[in-house]
Amino acid sequence: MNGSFDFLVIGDDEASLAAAGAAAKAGARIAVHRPSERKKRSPAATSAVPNFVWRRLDLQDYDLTLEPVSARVTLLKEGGPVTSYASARETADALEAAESEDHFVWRDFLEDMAALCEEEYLTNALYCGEAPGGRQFAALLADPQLLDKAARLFGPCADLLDDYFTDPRLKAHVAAHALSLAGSGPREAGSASALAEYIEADAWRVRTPKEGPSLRAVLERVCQDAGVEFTAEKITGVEPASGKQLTVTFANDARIKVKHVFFATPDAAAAAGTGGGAMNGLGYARHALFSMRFRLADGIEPPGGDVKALYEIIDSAEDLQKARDAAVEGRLYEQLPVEFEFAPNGELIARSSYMPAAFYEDGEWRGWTGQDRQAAAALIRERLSSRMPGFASHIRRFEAEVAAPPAGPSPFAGCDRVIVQSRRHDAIGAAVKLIDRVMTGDE
Amino acid sequence: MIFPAEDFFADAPRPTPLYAAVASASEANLWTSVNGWTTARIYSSVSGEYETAKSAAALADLGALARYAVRGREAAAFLGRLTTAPAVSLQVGESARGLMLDDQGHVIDLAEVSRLSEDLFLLTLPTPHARHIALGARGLDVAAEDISGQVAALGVFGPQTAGVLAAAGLKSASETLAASGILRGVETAARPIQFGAMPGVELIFPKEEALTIWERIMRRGAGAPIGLDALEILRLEAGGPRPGLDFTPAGKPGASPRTPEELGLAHLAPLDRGWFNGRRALRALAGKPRRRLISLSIDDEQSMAGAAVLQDGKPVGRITSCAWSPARKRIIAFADIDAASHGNNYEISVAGPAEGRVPAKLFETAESALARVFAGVQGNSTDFRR
Amino acid sequence: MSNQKNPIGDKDGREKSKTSAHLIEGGIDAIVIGAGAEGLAAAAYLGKAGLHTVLVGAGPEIGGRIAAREIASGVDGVDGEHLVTVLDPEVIAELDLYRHGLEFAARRLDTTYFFESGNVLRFDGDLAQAALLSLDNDDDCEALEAFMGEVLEMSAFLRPAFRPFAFPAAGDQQRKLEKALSGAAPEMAARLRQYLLSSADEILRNRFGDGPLRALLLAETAFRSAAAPGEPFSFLSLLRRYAGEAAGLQGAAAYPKGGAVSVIAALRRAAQAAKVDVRAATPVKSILIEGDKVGGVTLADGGQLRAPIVVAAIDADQAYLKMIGAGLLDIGLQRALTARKPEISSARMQIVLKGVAQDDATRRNMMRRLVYAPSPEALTKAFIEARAGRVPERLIVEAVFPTALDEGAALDKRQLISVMAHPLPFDAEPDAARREAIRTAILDSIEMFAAGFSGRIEADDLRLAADEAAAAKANPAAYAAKPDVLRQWALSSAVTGSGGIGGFYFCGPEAQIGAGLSCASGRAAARAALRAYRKGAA
Repeated sequence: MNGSFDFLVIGDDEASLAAAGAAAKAGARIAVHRPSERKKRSPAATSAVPNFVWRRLDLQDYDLTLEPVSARVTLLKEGGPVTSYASARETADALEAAESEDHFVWRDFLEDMAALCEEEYLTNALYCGEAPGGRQFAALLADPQLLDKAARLFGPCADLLDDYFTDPRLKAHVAAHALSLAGSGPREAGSASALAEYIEADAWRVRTPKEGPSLRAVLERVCQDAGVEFTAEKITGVEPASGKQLTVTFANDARIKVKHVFFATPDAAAAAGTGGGAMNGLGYARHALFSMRFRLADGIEPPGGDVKALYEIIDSAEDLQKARDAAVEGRLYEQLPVEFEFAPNGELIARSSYMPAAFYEDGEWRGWTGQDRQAAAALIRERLSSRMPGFASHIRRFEAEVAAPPAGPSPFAGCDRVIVQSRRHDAIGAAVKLIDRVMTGDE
Repeated sequence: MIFPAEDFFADAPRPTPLYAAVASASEANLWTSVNGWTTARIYSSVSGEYETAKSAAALADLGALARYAVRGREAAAFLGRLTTAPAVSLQVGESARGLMLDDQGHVIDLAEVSRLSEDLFLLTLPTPHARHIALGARGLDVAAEDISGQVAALGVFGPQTAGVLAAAGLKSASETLAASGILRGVETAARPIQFGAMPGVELIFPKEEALTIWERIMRRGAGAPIGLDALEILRLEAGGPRPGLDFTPAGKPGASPRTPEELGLAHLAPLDRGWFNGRRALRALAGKPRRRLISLSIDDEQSMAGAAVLQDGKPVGRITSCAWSPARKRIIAFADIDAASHGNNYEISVAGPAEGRVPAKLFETAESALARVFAGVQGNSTDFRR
Repeated sequence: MSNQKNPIGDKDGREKSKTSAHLIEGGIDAIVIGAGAEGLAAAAYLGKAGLHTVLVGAGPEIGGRIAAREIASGVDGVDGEHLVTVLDPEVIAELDLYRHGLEFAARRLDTTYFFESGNVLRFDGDLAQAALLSLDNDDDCEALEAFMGEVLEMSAFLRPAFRPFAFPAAGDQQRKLEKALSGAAPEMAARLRQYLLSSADEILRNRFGDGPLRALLLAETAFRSAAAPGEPFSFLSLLRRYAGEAAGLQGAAAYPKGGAVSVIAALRRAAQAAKVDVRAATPVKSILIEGDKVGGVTLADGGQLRAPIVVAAIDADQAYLKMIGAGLLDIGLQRALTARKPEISSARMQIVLKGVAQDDATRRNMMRRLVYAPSPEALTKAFIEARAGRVPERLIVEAVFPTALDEGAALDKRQLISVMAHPLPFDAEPDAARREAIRTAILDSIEMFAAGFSGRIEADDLRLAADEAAAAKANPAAYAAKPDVLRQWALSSAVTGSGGIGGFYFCGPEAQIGAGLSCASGRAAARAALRAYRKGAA
């Protein structure tokens, strides 16, 4: 591969491919870099494809079916599962059935959160990297209503939840599903934005049914049809070429010129070894994402038996903050929050973002070791067993991987034309919006 | 009180307490969802139901509206804060209309308050606002309980309302006061209400007795049920804006906020009465409307919600809701227009095969008459009759 | 709520009120509630403009939480602030505070930083000079010089944003702010975004890696703020601190002769010179609202003062929720006030030490501001602990020696050391065990840089947020550490909007951005009141 491109999109997950496809269809020259060692895997649920992305990519022309995750379920230490549904009514009814007073305000809560996210200026400043010039900033300070919204949107998630709800189980449920993606704590400033965002329809994750092509496969075809070029060669160097371009060198000595390097998700950035990707919505990500896949013998069912739901395991609402604190302090946390789901082929996929990015022991930081991986894997197995008795005996095979922000220098360090989208519930929509914004800025 | 806009996405609406009764009376079997409650659109025919309300008495299932029982030492102060209705000065049995405003003086919703006893009020809202109510109750000795769905509510409209009530065995002692009585052993309350500015009576009784009471009224009275479509005509004739259709409640996603004045409802939020939430902001906005919601009668026979309203050839706004008025033999409509437009005459741009423009005229409704009188009293009469 | 309309008292009312309660006193142009620094400044401005101004304070003393008090036999300490870092220079000039007796014993204190590793760094009192100090590493030196340049430039640039500005009548002030900020150079605007949203830890890690400068600047950022340095918006706290000035120098710290209490004395003299009627021990029961305007105040003794202007220089809970009452507040303002949940606070400790310094190095250090900067890891842990309600092991400690800085305060064979420690859990009602735990944690942290210190203690006096609140008869939450600057802006904007009540102005602690003795909000409230007053008179 040679030549010059507008964007080098690094990563071939759904959000990266959607952004690449949308930009290519809009006339940009796009190269996509795949991670070299991608294993063939059953797909996990992904963020929904927003309508505008569907239209941009003309997805109706491809044989794609998606089904929404049936429910969000939280398995607390005590009491039955707490469940919410895509339909506000269904959730309110479930809350009413569980005799929670909070069912009255559920719909108001959803609407208020949507209204909070509606402030373009705030969400752009927050996620899309739109630099607030002095004038916009002054306008924010001068508008009490906008400031009030900003304070709520960028405040702690727990304060916002306490202001609406009384039921601790509901609060734990909402916080767990909103925050586990970014591994943040409910008492942290900025965590409310994850809460406000997660209630959006496009943040509701979707699954690919067992039959039919996966979303990723379809998006790859969209990219190919739009003339996107793919490479899997290792990147060996990134240097500024001129004021407006970067030169990217590959292991096979090929080199290309690009205007921007684009990471659609911080995971893609972390996998590519750039510290610039270690952003978590608002701040420096101080955690690692640990994921596991289990191939299981038949006969294990999640509590409630719904294999199309998304599950969170936490002991209590306080647990999220404690787990976050532990990750920040650089240690494993015993009552680890774990998210899990069943892939269409029956594999169980479990994740936790509440793992330390590095370990702090005896006054020193150190990276992940094989022992740490084993300990983390054992912990996740134990957490799954605590909610699904007999889980351990059903495991046929499992694999584990950790995505930690890298410690060493990154080939992208010091390049200001590297763009990283932060971790978003609506990853696909956010990636497309960001690449659009960068394209508009270039003109 | 007025029904809000129908639900955009209706997922399996719940039956109202009166559902079993009204379903048996429905020939058209045409339903919709309002606030998640099943509500009849048409029972037999729109024109027939409309005529019944005009000439006899029409019965409407009001179970979809949000109802709160407000109790406590500071119940009146709370309602005076939450709504613009003069709750503090209401005598036992009296009801008043008002608006719910946000801190910026923009309309969140309509409201109706009835004082049932010294410390007990009934608050009726087109849509539920649990969050706003909970916030408004903070710091006050008051409890607001959502009783929607626990009581059956039957609205009676039309010239023979009193007769229907008498036939049902409810003596209405006064036309302005709420009364309660025992109807075949069931505790029932009747209170005067206004559907927009159209007067009527609302009967409230425990949901367990819904069928009994309905049967009794249907058998003994002269009433016939009326659905949402016929009520819509009555509403437009009386000039009551419908939340979610003629304006979007403030604070909701996508809302473009409106002041009471901009909705033609300034008389429901008088600045010289007791304090209510948003009044101080409203004072700063008073007399400076940016938009106006007007009632138009259009010389045409097709409804055209969303159509552009023109004046001197220029677009000044759009139709927000409309219906065919059998009384006027014209389309009547609400239009949200630029406050700078003036006079009584407008044009409506018509799309489709009969493309062109049709003339439209301002007309006075019961609601706009109240607004006009109020504006006259306030000494800053609008250009209504200019 | 007693807001029934009362007949306006006649002109004689004021004389009568001095002898008997339950009377209505009129003829007053403005009432200022709260006799702290902000209240005194506001009253002085109003009086100076020719308004007949009455200042009422709840406590027996003028000064609020800043007061002199005997903390050991023969040793007078000063409660409240021990340093001046953000005193508004406009207030000093306009109220002529130097003429009214304000004097600085030390105008720009150098700072010595002590680190967990045992390292020591000294900063010049003039921060712009900080980078010229000898650092082991030339790279560090250059990085620091560049960084301090950028930070001081940005602080100066953001200064208008840190002033209370949200009074509804101050539209021109907003335009000024807009003008000031929109003049930003493009690179400044880009940096602004980074500085606005980022955490201090992120910015400092990128600039200084793991070196002592990161620990130093993290400690300065986190000091007296409830925002943990790893959280978004926390970097703004540092900009806020460096946007302030003491005795004409941006970002400096100064020690007033006689301690902070002399700032109060100067303000009081300025108020008296402006013919302000200052009344201590006159608690207010409620603020009268008539229509949409303020009518005056009702006193706890049943009397009534009537005036078209009321300035509240007390905490927002008292002013809005107690004195005005939830029933007359806009729902959003009430929510903003009740949604606050303070978790973190600072503590003040005054310690009398036996003996005098033997060596020159110690004597020189006693003329400086001493700061103990825990390691970033220890600081992170400290915030986690404090937020969870536990007393952290390591604290940021700021110490000064009033007896060394101020000749007039010198003691014979003893020294007074004044310490501010952070972060600690906030308690509305701390018990004895909690006090002891905090005392031990502070002393342990001091031991980290002054070994053997504890053995020389003759007496010590711990002062928590709850104690300051009790002295000022305020809600303890008002004296907890403030959250990140973004949330402070929002709260300040909400409370200074005065709920839209005409003639009512607020300059309590919630109006101010950041910690420290400032008087800027008192000035802003008084100026807004005067604008409205003149407009009404015209």
